Amino acid sequence: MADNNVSYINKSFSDFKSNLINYAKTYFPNTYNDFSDASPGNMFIELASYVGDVMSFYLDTQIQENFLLYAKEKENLYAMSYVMGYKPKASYASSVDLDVYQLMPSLLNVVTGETVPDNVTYGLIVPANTNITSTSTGTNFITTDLVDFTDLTGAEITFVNDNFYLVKKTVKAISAAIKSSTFTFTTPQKFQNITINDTNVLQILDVTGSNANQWYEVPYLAQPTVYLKTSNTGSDAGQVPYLLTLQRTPRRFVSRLLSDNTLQLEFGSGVSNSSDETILPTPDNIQLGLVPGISDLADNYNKASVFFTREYGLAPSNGTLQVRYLVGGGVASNVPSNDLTLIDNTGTYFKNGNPFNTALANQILNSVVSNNTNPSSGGRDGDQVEEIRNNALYAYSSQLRAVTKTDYIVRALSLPPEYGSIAKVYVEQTPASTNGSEASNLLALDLYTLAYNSSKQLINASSTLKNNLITYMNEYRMTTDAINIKNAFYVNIGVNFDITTTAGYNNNEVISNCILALQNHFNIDKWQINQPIILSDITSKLLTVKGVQSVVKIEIINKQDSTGINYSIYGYDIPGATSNNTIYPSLDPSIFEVRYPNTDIQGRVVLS
Amino acid sequence: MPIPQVVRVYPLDLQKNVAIGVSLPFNGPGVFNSTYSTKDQIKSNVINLLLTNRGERIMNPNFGADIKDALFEGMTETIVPLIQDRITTAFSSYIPQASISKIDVVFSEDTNTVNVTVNYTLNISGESDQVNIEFQ
Repeated sequence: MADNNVSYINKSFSDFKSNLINYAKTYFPNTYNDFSDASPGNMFIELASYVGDVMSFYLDTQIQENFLLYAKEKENLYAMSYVMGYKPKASYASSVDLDVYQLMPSLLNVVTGETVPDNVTYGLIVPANTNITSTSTGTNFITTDLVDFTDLTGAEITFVNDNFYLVKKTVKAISAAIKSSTFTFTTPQKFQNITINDTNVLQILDVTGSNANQWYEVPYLAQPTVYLKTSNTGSDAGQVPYLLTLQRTPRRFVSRLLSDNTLQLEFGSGVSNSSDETILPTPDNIQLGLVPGISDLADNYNKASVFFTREYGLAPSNGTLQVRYLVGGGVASNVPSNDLTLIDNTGTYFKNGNPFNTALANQILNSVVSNNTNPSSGGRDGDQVEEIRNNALYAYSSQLRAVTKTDYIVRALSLPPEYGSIAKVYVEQTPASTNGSEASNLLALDLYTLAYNSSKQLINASSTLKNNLITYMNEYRMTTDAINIKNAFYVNIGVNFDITTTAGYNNNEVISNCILALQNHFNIDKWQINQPIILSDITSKLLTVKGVQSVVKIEIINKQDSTGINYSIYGYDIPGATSNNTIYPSLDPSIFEVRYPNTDIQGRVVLS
Repeated sequence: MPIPQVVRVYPLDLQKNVAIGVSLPFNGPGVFNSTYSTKDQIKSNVINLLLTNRGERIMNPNFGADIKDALFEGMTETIVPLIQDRITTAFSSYIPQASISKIDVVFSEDTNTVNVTVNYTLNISGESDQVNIEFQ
């Protein structure tokens, strides 16, 4: 796009020269007539043309740099992308699933006579932001979350010997290092800037004042509220590790990437010690310092008065601010597999206090090791010019507002996983009340959700997760819209099929491949709420498997468990919902799920 | 019956109040001195051509006789045909109204100067003229 140059006045050197010669011929026929190259007078015509050409170039360039589609200077693109709502990135961190291992002493269960890992006494906490160093490149990685070995949910436990088990847990790690800078402030200044003298800053972790006040990053200084994350201590902490809350704060700042790849922080302008509510807006303070006159009734307010409030945040003063931030990323930060083995154990501790057996405790502390079975990926350099241009255009069109059904679905699925994982979302307009009474809100939407458990099976979202979702969605929904967050239904199914095989193929192998094909077809990632099952699609999948001669029968059966432990408590009349080789979902939003793909899909080879 | 003699002139030369161009050097009362004959104008053009090195003229890098540049080739006999050749080439491209009749190049090793005299004839009127410049 940027290759298209703006040519506003469309004049070049030859155009200017030609126009000047015509001008001289028209208006000065008796003064000048020699327009040959060698003529000294022509030299001046060419000089003027050259000046015109250069000015024309600069005029075109200035205009070009004002359009997002044509601008080429990074600084201008950055400024325009901020206006459009997109924040350019200095660098992208490489991420990887890191396996963290701990030796855990075994504990004898006197009832069963079997040993189990003693996770209560010897379970370690490997805190978030633990450093891991790449053995091949020396790149620093940090963990994004803590590893709690006292909670064995989802852990892989291996029997080592009678005395020890090896426990493995997986945590996300990113290629970054934590750094900090301290800035001193004296008298308050409006919209004061500070620049972090470090390139490739990925993210500001926190900003703390000398009086321990926290300062929060906001997208715009005019935005007074920030999201806060607090640990969830409830029973569903496994599903929803953190609670999302909103807080109004005057201590805020915005960050901007500069063209030299450094990061600039800008603070607010408020110098008042009173709360905003007592200052804004009364006739006394809004007309501060003005002598009202009949001539300027329309303009009778002090435009500066609002700037002295905390409307745009406080200006830091008389103290220091410590800024902690992440740096790193880049293409070079992608490391190969089995490379992240140097983990820093200095922050590791026993969750429930140091055990009495100090020697064993030290042995356990030193047993923590890490490894990445897969190479890290995603690390790349910062946004290039064309990326900034396209991302800014997209950010402008999306406006961070949920308007269409798709907006709501995408926004709900964008809830960061630490606040709970929304697996499936379906949105529909709340139907008008059918009992004759008025609908409470014609603009209400029903947001049907489902979540995953630790085995990636569908479950109802917990109330904590729904609360987090409400808090999150509130920032994006239209003021007049109401959202009802409801549970969608999940219908568990099994698949039985009969096939005939081509001569010369191993029947067991063909059946195994057919089951694999159907497991792939019914992978829950590929299914949406209200998606029907088309039986002919299943037949086609089976026929693509080598060795399948024909598909004799396909039967979809409902799997129901009245206790809701193994399968959904909801039964479904599959034959009644089948029409024209298609199994339709219920009118209430529901999704089909093969809950146990290894056992719920069964096939037979029949004789042809 | 006598055969009438044909005299060829430049049309603008017949209009005495019409200026052709400006002359070198720029030392007139209003900076520029106008020329009122083609012969005078061509003389200024030749001076302009000889005093310009190639690459000096904005947006016209081939313009010029490159004589000053030739001075750095060393004050030997070889400089004479070099300068003559450059003047001939430049003349044919940029002074189409005249033809060179003679080029004298005299160099002095003692003073590091080259004296160039170009004799030329105007193509239409047949008038002859001469430009003499000393380069140092």
